[in-house]
Parts: sequence; structure tokens; C-alpha cells
Amino acid sequence: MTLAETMAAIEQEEFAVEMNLAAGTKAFRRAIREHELFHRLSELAKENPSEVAGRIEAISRIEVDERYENRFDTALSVYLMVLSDVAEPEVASKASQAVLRTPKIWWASGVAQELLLQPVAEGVRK
Amino acid sequence: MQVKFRADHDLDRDIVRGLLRRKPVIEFEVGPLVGLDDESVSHLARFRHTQLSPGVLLVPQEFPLIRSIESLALIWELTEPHEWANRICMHERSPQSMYAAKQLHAKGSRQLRSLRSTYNCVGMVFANRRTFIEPEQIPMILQDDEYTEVVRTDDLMPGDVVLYTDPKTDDIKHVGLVLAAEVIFETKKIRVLSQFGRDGEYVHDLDDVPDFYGKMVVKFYSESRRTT
Repeated sequence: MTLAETMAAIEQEEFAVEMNLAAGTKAFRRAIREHELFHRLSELAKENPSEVAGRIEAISRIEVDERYENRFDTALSVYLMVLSDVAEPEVASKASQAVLRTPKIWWASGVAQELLLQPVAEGVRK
Repeated sequence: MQVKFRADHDLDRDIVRGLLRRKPVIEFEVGPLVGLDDESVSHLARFRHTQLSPGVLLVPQEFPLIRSIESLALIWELTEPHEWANRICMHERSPQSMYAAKQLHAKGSRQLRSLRSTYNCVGMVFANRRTFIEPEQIPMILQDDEYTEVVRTDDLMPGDVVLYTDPKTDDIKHVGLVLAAEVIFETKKIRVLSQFGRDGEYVHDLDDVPDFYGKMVVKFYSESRRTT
């Protein structure tokens, strides 16, 4: 399975439906981290994280149906979590900003906010 | 009984006109508007936890006119007024998403009750389907509202809360309401109503929850049979 095929699978409705069974944020993120597609994408993205970041940027520009939640909400969460693991903090930070510009997201905005705050929190600890 | 609408002073009157042209029988109160300005709307939101209030629908100014009209027409056609009580509605998942969820979850003895996605299982049980509440808040809610554990399943009653927890970590994975607890051929059969994440509400057997939740132990709590 290529990187593009893995991302396509992550963007399928079935994957979002499964992850949205989570009762809360903690369970949602744990379910993603335990999912085979997350592991596969993490491996593939190590060599080319910019492709994942590029996909986030592209999704953030897609016009959405204002009546409903953004159908890429779950996928964006996965992409950000992968980038936070494998990409330079700068790349993850820029991707988080793009996610926060994306309309009608729910889970992904929480992941993005946390990623943006992480360096600040670490700076405080130092 | 049909939903009735009332506009605040900001709502584009073309929405009202367009909706009434499409469905002349809809009741849409539009004036005088001083009684329900933005401040009043925010008051409704603020006091939703303490008193019964009508639902509040937020229509962004940049929202396309035709979509606003279509959405309100759908709400009028497909929903009941009580479904909107005490709710502030933000984004819902799309019908396509919810249909996919139904395809995955509505099987066997599970019965679909609703395909709404603006709340989770905790919001369904403890907040009248008004919002999303993290499961980590449940122990505090149980304590504040003086719930007591029901140890014997023979003592279960409709309306009791069922908690599904992780046997290793004790994390709460899911929560629902006992609908019925009957003895059938000497076997206790417990039917539960719960919201599967944000995938819709289902009536199901106690143990018949999606595999996604993994191994769980159940505990029951009651608000009605307080010890004091």
C-alpha cells in the first residue's frame, strides 16, 4: 500500500465512522494510535512527511458543505498526529495552523491546538 | 406537533420569506423583535442548564441563503419540538456519514433510534442530548448527583445508568441507560439505550456494543434510589 493509498483509506467514510465510536477525546486518539492505518502511514511518512503536510494544506482549501461537519475531520486528526511523531516541529506547527483554518472541524481542532501549544508548554518547563 | 420558529433581529428576512414561500404553513414569528434580540438568545444559552428553553439555531451570516432555507425546511419536516429543547446546535455530521454509521451498527437485535451526532453517550445520559461531555467527567457527575451503585441486577430499573469500563485501566469507555430488565426463560435480559460515540443512538442488549470498545466490565448506577 502506497502513501497515497493509505491516505485514501484514512479519508474513507468507514474509517471516520469507526473512530467516531469513541466516547471522548482520549479514546478517539488512542483508537487512532492503535489503528493499523496509523502505523502504516507513520512508517510511510517518515521518508516524506511533506506529502502528508501537503495533503493537509490541500484539504484545508476544499470547499465544505456548511450544514455539516467537515468530512475530513478524522483524517486531519490522523495526519496531524502522524506529523507530530515523524516531522520537524516546524512542519507540524504549520500543518496545525492550516487545520485551524479549515472550517467545520471538531476532533482535528483539538489536536491542532495541542500541537501549537506543545512547544510553548515545553519552553515553560525548560 | 410541528416546530415553530422565531427570529432574532439579525436573521436575514429573506430566509424567513423564502421558507414561508416554500412552506406557507410554517409558523415563523418575526416581529416585534425587541423581545428576542442577541442578548436574549445568549441568555437562553447561558441558562439552558437551569431552566427549560427552546433550542437555538445559529445561522452564520455568510451561510448561503438557499441552504439556510433548505435546512430549516428539513428541520420543520423531520423533527419534533421536544428534540430541540435546551439545545444549541452547531455542526452535525453529514447524512452520508450517518448512513455509513447505520450500515455498520444497525444489525442483529440492535435497533436504531436516532442518527444525531451533536452529542456523545455521556451527553445523552447526563445532559439531555444537548452537548458533548468527556467521559472523564462522569465520576464527578455521579458524585454530585448522588448516584448510588446498583450491585444486584435484580434491582435494576429502567432509567438506571450503565457504565462500561476498561477492566485494566478502569477508564470509562461507554455509558448508556437501562431501558428494560426482564427475566426470559430464567435469563436476565437487559436492554440498553446508548449513543455509539457520535454515530447515533441504538437500543441494544447489554453486551451487544461495537467491538471497537474492546473488553469491558459493566457497573450500574441509580439516581432515583438515594440512600439519604
